[in-house]
Amino acid sequence: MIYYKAQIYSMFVIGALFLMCSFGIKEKDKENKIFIRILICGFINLIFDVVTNYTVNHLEIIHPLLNRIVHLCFFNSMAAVFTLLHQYLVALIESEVGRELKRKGWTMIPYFVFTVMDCFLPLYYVETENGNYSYGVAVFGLYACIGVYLILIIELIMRYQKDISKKNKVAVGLALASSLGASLFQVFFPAALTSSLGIVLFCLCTYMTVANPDAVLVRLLKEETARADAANRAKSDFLARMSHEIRTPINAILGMDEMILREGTEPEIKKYAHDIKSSASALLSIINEILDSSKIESGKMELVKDNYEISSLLNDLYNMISVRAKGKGLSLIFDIDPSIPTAYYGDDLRIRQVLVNLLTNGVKYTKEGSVTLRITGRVEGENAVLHFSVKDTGIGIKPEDLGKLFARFERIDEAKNRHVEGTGLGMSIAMQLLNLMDSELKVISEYGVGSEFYFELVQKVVKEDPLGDFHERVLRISEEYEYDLNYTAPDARILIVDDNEMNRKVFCNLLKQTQIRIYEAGSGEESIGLAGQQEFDIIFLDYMMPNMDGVETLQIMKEKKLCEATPVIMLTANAVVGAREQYLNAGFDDYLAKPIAPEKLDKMILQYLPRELVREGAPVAAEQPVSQEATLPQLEEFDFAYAMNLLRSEELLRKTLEDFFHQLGGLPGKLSPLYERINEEEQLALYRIEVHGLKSTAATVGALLLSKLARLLEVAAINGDIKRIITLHPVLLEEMEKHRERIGTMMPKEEKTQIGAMEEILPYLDMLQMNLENDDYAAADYVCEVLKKYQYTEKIQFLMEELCTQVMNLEAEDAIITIDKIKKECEG
Amino acid sequence: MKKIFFIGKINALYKDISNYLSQNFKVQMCVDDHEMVRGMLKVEQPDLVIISLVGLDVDSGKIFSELKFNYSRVPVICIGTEGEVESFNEFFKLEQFSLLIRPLKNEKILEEICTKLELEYSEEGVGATPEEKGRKKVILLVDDNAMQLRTLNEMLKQTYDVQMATSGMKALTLIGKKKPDIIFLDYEMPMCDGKMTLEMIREVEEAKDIPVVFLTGVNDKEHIEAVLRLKPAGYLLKPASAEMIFNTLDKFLG
Repeated sequence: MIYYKAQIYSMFVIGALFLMCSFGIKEKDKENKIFIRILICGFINLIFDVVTNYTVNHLEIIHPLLNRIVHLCFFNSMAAVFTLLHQYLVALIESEVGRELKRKGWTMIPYFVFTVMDCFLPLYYVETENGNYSYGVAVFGLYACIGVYLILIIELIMRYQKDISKKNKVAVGLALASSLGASLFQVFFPAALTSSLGIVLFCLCTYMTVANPDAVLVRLLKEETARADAANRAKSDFLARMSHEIRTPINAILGMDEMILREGTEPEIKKYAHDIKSSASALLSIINEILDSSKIESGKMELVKDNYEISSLLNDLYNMISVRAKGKGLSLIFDIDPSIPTAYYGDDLRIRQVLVNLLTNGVKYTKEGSVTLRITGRVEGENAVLHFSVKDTGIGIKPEDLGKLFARFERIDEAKNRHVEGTGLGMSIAMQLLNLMDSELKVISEYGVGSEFYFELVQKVVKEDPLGDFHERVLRISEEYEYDLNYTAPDARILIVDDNEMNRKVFCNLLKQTQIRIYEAGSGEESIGLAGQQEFDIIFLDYMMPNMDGVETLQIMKEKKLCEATPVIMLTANAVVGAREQYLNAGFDDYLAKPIAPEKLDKMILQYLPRELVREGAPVAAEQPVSQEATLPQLEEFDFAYAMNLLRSEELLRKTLEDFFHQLGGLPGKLSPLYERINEEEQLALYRIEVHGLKSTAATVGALLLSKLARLLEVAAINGDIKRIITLHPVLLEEMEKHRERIGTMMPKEEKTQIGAMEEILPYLDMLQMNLENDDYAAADYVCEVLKKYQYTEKIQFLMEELCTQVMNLEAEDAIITIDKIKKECEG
Repeated sequence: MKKIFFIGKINALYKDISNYLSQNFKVQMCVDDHEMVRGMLKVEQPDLVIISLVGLDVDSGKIFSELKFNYSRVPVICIGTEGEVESFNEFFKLEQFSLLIRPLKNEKILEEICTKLELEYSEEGVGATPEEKGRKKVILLVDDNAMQLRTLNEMLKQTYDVQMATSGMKALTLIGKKKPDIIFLDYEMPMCDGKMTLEMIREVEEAKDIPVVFLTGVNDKEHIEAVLRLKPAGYLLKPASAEMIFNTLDKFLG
């Protein structure tokens, strides 16, 4: 009865597996559930294996029907196992591939078909020496059903062999091989009854590799990690995007404010502008703190190492803090060891950040006394070990509060320190930055006396020369620095590309004093067009632009070989770590962070402009032409506020006034002939149209009185009130003349050059004629401007003025006739 | 159409070449005065420059220098005899400048231009160039009052290509020459008033779908009903502020 033994052992194994799977895995997913079902069916199968073994060998006592039923159950459970096997594989593949497979509904059909059919298929029993076993079509039906599922399984594996992970493949392979092997053995040696063995082997293999609780945990863990990564990535993207979104408008505010500060005249306004500057700067630094803190938190902060001079770092620090300290009546002392080296290799931006934090805190929490920065160091081989210490005579920290010091957003002695501004992030950022630099922030403090924050940094030395006396050196640098800033480069050409008009305006104004010729482009496409027309000495290219961004624009320029030798500098509000390398790789020569610091811009320009173009020395003051006044003068009976409301631009108003001046010159000549025959209907209508026109144009330049007068005449003309017209017309003429004179006082005095020979202007006249024939008034206007500069003989002068008026009035045909007249005069 | 800036003394030869080239290009003429050249170049921003060397004196070297320094990427074709060419030899060493010795057929000039501008050239004429991106929209202003036209022109010329007409007839001529994207039409005009002009415009096949905006004084409200039957795109009351005009333009030109 060895068969019994095999079955019993198998049942134990399956029972154990069942227990482990059922109770060992807390969260069962689909595959686990199917596996448990397989175990159950396998167990049932084993039971019936034993039972049928008994009944087959005791045909005499067992009722044939009972035998039949028992055998059916045995076959059915075996078929069920293979059906579930197939389902298990399907579930496995689905979880690997991530979607549902097709034709799932059909998979149960062979099983049901078999179940139904097997009830009616013949079954008989064979007797051998070793034992009896069942045989017949029913058994073949079972084999057929199993065969179908095996084929389906193999087909599945082959179809999805790429998608199934290696481990699963091994598991499935083993399981299949064992069950197949056992099944085949059974087919050829029906007496062996090894099918149960096959089932057990399969279950074991699957359990060992896939279905056991540990494997499930591993899988769940992988899913969690993937989810966490996705969340992290979303956060970084948000950071980067926000960084730009937030900094851009602040850039505009600071830039515009800078313009007010530079160009404003009234002290009150300038005071407001200063307040705006300090608030906006504070806002910017708060935002930077928050963004930095997030960055460090998500582990994205990296050190960007470069060569730097410690003196410039100290100089900037001093400038930054001394103002605040002085404001509070504190003394700021820099005690720097003169023997430390001058230049190092490291991330000076972050060192600066840490020191600014410590020093600012020192100033914030000190009411009287001093804040001292002390730096000492010693050289050890290639590196210098620098000891930094910031000491203040402030309120100090209680020992129990020291823990809170570095916690984010927590303030010590909240009640007392409520009035101190800031986000509360500074300390924590400083500490984390130092950690990044393999250092640690330490503090000694005595409540009521003061605090000292200190840390040590190891930095690679780049220049060994000792620093010397800090103050003396600092003074020298600041002199050189200021000296350089006074420069002009009137022959230099710079192109600024930024889609934001405000940014461009700011840029131009920052460089106004240098007299550099600045060309503007509002888009990548525009800049390519301009670069196609001429060479530039430097190109400043904004990164974030709609349609074609900075990198794309540069690429296209390089492809088209435009401005190949020109240094291209990227402007970006997105000052994320690693940006510099990215831009350099994209082909930029350098980058400038927005908001643009004026000193940095000057430095960059001085660095990249060819030497020959730069001239030192302050620009000549007030090179503006005399006639240009800062504001419009007051003119009697002219309401410029009204005009500005319509025209919106002072330049436009001036130009329009000039045109109006000329119109007023020609109008009396037009009106008089009409007036003389005002009784005639046609002339009255034409008169009406003329004064109607005058009414509008006078209103446009703010000559409201004149405009109203014209309106009265218009109404009179509409109503056919000749008497009224006769009364008012002389008044109109008078007012027109007065207004004309007034504008005349505003117009710049023209210097006329004496014309040499009249032949000189003939080509201009030809040009003008051609332009008029082509309706090209822009070009025609230009020629008229040139012609007006000359002084002519009286007769020709008169004709010239007539010509210019006709061009002004767009009377092309009349103008051409006048040109002919002038030509004849010249010849005659 | 590409723009060609043609510098030279305006004589018969000049006019002949200019007329020939106008068939395929927009030709802007200019005398050989370097101040004039400098000013007009700024206004015109041409794609190519042609210089007729006839009668040019040494002073014209300034013109060459101007082109060399400020328009280094704009190709220049010089046409002249062997003798005329000599004074400017130093410039022909540069890639920007090329030389055609005359007398020569006009077709040769056309060929050279096409080579320099990388256009297709065939017997029939120059291959059509694709519409330049960001072509300025064309606005046609019609008003019998030249000052009104000038004011609007000053306001708009930076952003748009402005055409001006002082009468309905002139407006039709200009529409034929260059199809506008929008038309501003004054209502009160002598002889052919706004209503008649609009009717005429609507007769023209290519122009009937162009949006037309009336400019009219307050009194003319009674005329507005008459006008509305013609379905103008809208109307503005005079004097129209810059804001109103730009809003209208944004509305119809996008």
